[in-house]
Amino acid sequence: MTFEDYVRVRGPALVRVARLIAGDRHLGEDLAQEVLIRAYPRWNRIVAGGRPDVYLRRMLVNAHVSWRRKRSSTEVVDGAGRVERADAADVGDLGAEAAERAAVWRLIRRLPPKQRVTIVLRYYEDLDDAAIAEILGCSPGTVRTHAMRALTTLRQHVATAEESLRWTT
Amino acid sequence: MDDMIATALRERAEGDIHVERLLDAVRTGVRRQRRRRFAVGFGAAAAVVALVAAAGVATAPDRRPDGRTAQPAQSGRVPLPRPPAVAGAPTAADRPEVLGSGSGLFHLDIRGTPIGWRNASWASTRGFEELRFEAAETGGDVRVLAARDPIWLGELGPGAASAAVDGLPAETVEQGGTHVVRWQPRAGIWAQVWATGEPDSAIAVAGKRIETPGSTSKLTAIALQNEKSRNVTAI
Repeated sequence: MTFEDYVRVRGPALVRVARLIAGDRHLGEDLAQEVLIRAYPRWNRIVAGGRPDVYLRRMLVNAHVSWRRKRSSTEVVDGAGRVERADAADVGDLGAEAAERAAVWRLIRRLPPKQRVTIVLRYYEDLDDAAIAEILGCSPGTVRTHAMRALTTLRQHVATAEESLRWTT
Repeated sequence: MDDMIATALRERAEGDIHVERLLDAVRTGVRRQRRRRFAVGFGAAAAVVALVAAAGVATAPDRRPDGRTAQPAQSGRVPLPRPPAVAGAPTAADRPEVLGSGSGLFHLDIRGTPIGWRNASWASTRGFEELRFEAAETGGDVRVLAARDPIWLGELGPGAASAAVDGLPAETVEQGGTHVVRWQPRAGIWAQVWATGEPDSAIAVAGKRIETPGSTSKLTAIALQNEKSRNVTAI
């Protein structure tokens, strides 16, 4: 498959994953673009490896980690004080379920990078632990640890948010 | 919870994606990257090889069994020992026919690189010369070739992309992790550079003309090659 064919067929999926990994739509598009630019000169080798999707997602993760190191991160989870509380106006505007999903997304964005990537690859790309491990360059056991910690964080905060929602309403 | 996560992610990921616009942006980025690597004016050069009249030998050099001249190992930025210069001998830039003329003279050199080199060796055969050295910091090998006929340089293979060295048209290709660039510094001479290693630690290579008093412009070439076959683009 030529590079252009791949971008036309699989490029959108890469951009969508990049949006989630970066936690921001525009940053994600920039990230995907940068990865494709870097992949282009190596395309023959990438295709020869047989799994360009895996290779490019690995590049995506590495590029994102590299970006984060270069800029100061403001994504700090500092406990209950940062829990998004839906006030009555939010609930009224979005609806309770939409507000919950918005809160979940904000929580996912605040996860440490590898936990976030694990959640994205598991719940959006529907990959199993072995596939995620290959992309992250770790063992499936480590992937399960990332997932467990991420879900624990999300459950704690969602439960608190749900209480707040219920409390405010 | 799982459904909520999946739905939340889907909502954030979805949205229009203009594939042709993405492709255009990638192509622009690739061209920009190539210009950065090859444009001399941006100071991208890390090593310069000059086709010089040096490398003649007043005394017989230590020769390895394969006919190459062996150089002592050195590390860091210590100047690379070279065969002694022969005063008055024509350069390949002046007279391409002297390249690989079998006269015991070598016409390739390397200058101006910020990386340390070691274990250099020169080779000359009919119509073809080669300079090899090891990059001290990475342990990779570098290979510069110059020939009067491009057939000596081998096939570039499929996927060659156009580039520029010192403003001259060039071709570049990746072959099994080795990156190659080839161009014609002047009529009658072809130059080629090999490099393998990690793409991110690629060593930029560019050509630069060197003007010396009393001589015409010398041909320049840059070559990096890693015999360990790790991916390194350097050209």
